[in-house]
Amino acid sequence: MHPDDRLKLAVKSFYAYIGAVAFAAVGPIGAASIVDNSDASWRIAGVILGVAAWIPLIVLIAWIIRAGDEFIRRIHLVTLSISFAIGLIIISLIDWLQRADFVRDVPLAVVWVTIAGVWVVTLFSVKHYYERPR
Amino acid sequence: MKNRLRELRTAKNWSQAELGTRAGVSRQAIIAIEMGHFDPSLPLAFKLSRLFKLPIEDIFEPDGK
Repeated sequence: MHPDDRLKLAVKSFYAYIGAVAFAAVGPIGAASIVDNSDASWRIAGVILGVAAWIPLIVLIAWIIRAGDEFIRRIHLVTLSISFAIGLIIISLIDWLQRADFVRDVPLAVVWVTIAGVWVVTLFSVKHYYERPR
Repeated sequence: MKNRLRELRTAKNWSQAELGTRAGVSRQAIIAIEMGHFDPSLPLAFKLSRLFKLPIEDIFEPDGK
């Protein structure tokens, strides 16, 4: 690939990443503001917005995995594996704590925000592991 | 896996980015290979072998050898 084309692709990828992250962050906030409306159509819009907010980021990650070299692919696949496992533990922990009456009804928003946070932290940790100085 | 990638690359005055471009991988991949944190796939090892005109065994050495 010509260096100019590589630069253009890098810039486009950067803005796509910023946009996808922004949409994932702002979408749920917007959804929360309309999902309590008495009008069912606003509530439907809130549900769609809240869920669809993740789609651009997931599509972008999938594209990065597909288009990246073997190293980039390894980092993202290891990240997804680890964060899936941690997410599973978090969900089952909350479930068992609720069943044992140690905590009361934990809002699902707390769960998925925590899992998203785990994904981000895991990504930076995995990158650091593979890129750390000898 | 231990390797001589850094030594071979600097002998040709190639930057990590330049070697990455020639091998079709990112600079980060080259960095990780040179530091021994990442072992290349067989196709990439063959590409590096062709770039440096050396057998794979002269570039990479299994740990514990």
